[in-house]
Amino acid sequence: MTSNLRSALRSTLSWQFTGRFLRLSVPLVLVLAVVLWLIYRTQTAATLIVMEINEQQSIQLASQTIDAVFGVLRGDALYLAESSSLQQWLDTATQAARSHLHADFLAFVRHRRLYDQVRFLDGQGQEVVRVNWNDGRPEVIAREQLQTKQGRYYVRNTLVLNKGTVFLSAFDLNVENGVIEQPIKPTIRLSTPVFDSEGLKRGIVVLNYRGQRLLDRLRAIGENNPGGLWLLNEKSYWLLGPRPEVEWGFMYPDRETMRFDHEYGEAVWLSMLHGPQIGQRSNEQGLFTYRRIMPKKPQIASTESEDYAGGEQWIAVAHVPRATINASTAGQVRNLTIAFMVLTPLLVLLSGIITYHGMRRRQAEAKAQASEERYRGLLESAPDAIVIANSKGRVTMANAQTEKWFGYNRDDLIGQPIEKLVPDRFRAAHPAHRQNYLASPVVRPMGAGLELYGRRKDGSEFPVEISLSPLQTDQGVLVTSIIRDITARKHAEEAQEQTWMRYQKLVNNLPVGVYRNKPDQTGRFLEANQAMADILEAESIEQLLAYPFSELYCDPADRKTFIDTVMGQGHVHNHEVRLKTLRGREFHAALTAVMKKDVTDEIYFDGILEDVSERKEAERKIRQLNDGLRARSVALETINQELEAFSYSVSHDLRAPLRAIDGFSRTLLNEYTDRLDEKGRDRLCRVRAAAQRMANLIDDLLKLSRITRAELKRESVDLSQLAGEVIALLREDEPERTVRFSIQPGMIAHGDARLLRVVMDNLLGNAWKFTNHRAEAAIEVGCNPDETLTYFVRDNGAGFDMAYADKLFGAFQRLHDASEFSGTGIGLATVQRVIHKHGGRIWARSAVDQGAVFYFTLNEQKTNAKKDNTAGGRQPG
Amino acid sequence: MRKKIILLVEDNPDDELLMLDALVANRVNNEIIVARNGVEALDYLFGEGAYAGRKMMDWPAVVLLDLKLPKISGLEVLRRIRADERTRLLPVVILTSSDEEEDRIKGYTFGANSYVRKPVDFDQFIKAAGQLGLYWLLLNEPPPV
Repeated sequence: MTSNLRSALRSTLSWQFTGRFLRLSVPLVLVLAVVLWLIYRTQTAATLIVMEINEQQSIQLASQTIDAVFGVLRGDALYLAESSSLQQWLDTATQAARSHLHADFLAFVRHRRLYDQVRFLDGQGQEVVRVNWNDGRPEVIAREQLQTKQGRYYVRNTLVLNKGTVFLSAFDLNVENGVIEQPIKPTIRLSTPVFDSEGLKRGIVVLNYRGQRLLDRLRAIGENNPGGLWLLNEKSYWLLGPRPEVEWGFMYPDRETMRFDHEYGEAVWLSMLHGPQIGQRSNEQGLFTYRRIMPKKPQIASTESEDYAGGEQWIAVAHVPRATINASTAGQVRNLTIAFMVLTPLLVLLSGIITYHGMRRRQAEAKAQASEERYRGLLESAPDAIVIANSKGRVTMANAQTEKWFGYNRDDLIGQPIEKLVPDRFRAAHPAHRQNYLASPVVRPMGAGLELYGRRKDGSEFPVEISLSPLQTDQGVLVTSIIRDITARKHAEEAQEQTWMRYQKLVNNLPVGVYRNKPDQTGRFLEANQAMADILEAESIEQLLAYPFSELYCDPADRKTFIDTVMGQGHVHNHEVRLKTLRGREFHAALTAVMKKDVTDEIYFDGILEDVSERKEAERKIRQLNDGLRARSVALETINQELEAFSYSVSHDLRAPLRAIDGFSRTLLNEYTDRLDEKGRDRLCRVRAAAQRMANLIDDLLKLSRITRAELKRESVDLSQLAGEVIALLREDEPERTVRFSIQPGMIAHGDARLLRVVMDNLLGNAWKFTNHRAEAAIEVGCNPDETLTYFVRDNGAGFDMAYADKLFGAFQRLHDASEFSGTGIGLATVQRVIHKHGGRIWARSAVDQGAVFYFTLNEQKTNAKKDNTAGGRQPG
Repeated sequence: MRKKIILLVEDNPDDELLMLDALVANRVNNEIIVARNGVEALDYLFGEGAYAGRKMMDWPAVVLLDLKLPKISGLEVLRRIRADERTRLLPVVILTSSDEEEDRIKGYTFGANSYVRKPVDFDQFIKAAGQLGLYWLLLNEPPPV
């Protein structure tokens, strides 16, 4: 069983099992624990009660013993006080009477055996008679050894008492000559006054009671008690204690602290001292059963007003230590623990078995239910209508989809012939079909080639597919029909058909040939569109389809290359080949094709064919043009290189002869001046001037050509500052001239700084030059703030005739006589070249003697300047 | 004080004559060695060829170097002067007709000490020669040999 349970535990160890198991076993174990706890409590309580009663009985016994002892002691004291021998001696005081008294006392001590001393003291406290016990050999003490006890507390206290009252001393140890007598002698002194026959108080009798006897008896009573029986005095000192060395603490200076309240707590002590006379107290040190004991008169009624004087209160205590109590319950705890440990596994095992069987049953139920629900759920959630009919063709079950599609309630169908769902036109023949099927019932899958229809409740029909499967049951053959509404599919098929038609139309209308063929021997077309037939000049698509494509290649090697390429990389794009049409005309075609595989893994090509003859022709022309351009560009490059070499050579070689001309002319003028006449010197000066002018011309030409070659580097240029620098240089050259300059500040242009410097050098240089004859020369540099940034340099100088404006910017063109204004005529040409290099324009406005304004733009990016193609020179400023 | 030597490297006889005239006009009467091409200039400097056995202690105070020279160009002469340990610090003034930017850049890049363009106006030429003589022969302290 256990191994079964274990294997069951292992196999079905699931949270569910654990949960159920815990829910059963834990409460059971808890109940067991509670029951055992209650048993423990009851047993412990009973033990305690037994213990308490036991203790109380001991205390009761002790109390009774003490009472009995006191009764005896009191009787003895009173007896002696009134004994006839004593009375006689008091009356006669003869020797005979004394002897009689001695004998009497001696007999009393010997036989009573209770007292250590019996004395008679007179009114002054002088011992008159004294008999000592003397360890069982009683003797009368000789007269000369008698002592006076005048002033002792018991003498004093007793002499004031009335007849019949006994004075009790404290219970203590006998002291002889200031030393505690050893072995110790616990003693209680009783004394009572003695009256003679005339009623006069004549003295006292004193009896020393040997208390050891009482203590021994109490100890004997306490022997049955677990913690013994103690006797305490009022000061909490032990008279009878757990050990002899703690007893009589008040007698020994070094035992002062050996007190009950010290040992066991003041609380217990005080409650015993002041609480009820009889009681039990319990603390962590154990159980204390006590009784306060007072000497009291015997039960027999007495006429005396007082029975005792002095004396003290004692407390008898029976103590059971906590350890003893615990020890007595420990056994029970052990037993109950064993019981718990034995019973718990049993309960756990029981719980396990119950849980296991409970689980098994529930699982079985759940499985059965789940399977039924699944089956029902499958039927209900099936996307098809499912109808089960019996062998008589009656419907026994129909699902939700059946209700939805056919429009019947389930209840309308159950028990009805299945023909209810068959269209009217097939209804009559249906039972026969049914019988045929039942004769050889096999599973018939859907879509077995028949166009079937279902009939709705409202009589309308819808296309269906039906599969049938027979099921042998004890109620005969059941046929499950699974019916699928294929209306949506039919619609989809039609839509697909339309889409297909649309695509076919699209393909047919394309201006490029679209085809499909196989890369086999003939490459015959499988599909081709109208454009294909048109390009290949076939009379119809059919004619084309019948024609082998391989025959249409001008070069059969082309076809092989094409096929290899497509097979190799899976596709080809704009592969150009030369084809011929069915009529034999050759043309350039571009083929684009992809390789495909059909279901049988056979390779075919889908391709596009384009007639690119025109494009080829256009490309050929472009190529020709490009070749021409390239040739021209090479020629230009050559020219440029030549020009560069030329200008380099010019700068070196053309200047050398000029230097020689000028230099040697000067030598002539200087060293041979005396051999030359005025005319000769004049001509030589002209030679020199001409040479120097030519040098200037060469320099200016070189500058112009350098600007043409220079690369444009645009950056932000402060034109205002630039103009200022140029003007400063001009003033330096001719400091004697006064010219009023006005420069618009903050003109930042976007252009090549070096080239703009050339522009400013020339324009301002011209303005400076042409205002030479003006008394009040004025030159202005500024910028028009319209949308095109137009800079200008204005002067009030000689100006020029606008009729010659078109010659202004040509190289070597001069509008003034050299005698009037010097110059090479290259400056403005250079300026124009700089401006054009920037993509800007330059023009001027002037009139003779009216000054001139030169405008220019720099085609700066930040302006959306409108390109103005008007010929330069006549623009309004 | 020994007279300082000027080495004039000039292929054009006219220019040579003008230069000598200009120096005379400025009363510069130092010894002037004229090399008429690059090879000759280098032969003189390193005591080779026609100048084999030249007293090598006589380094010119300044070399006036034309750029456009037959056989070896002025720039190449300059390059070799700077490449040789003996002449690496020799003052070289390029004296040429060209004011092409490229020539100026190369001249300075190869370590020319000055670049002077020969003016066409002979008066200015004389002035330039005078200043050259004044500067390189009198003012300038030559590098330690």
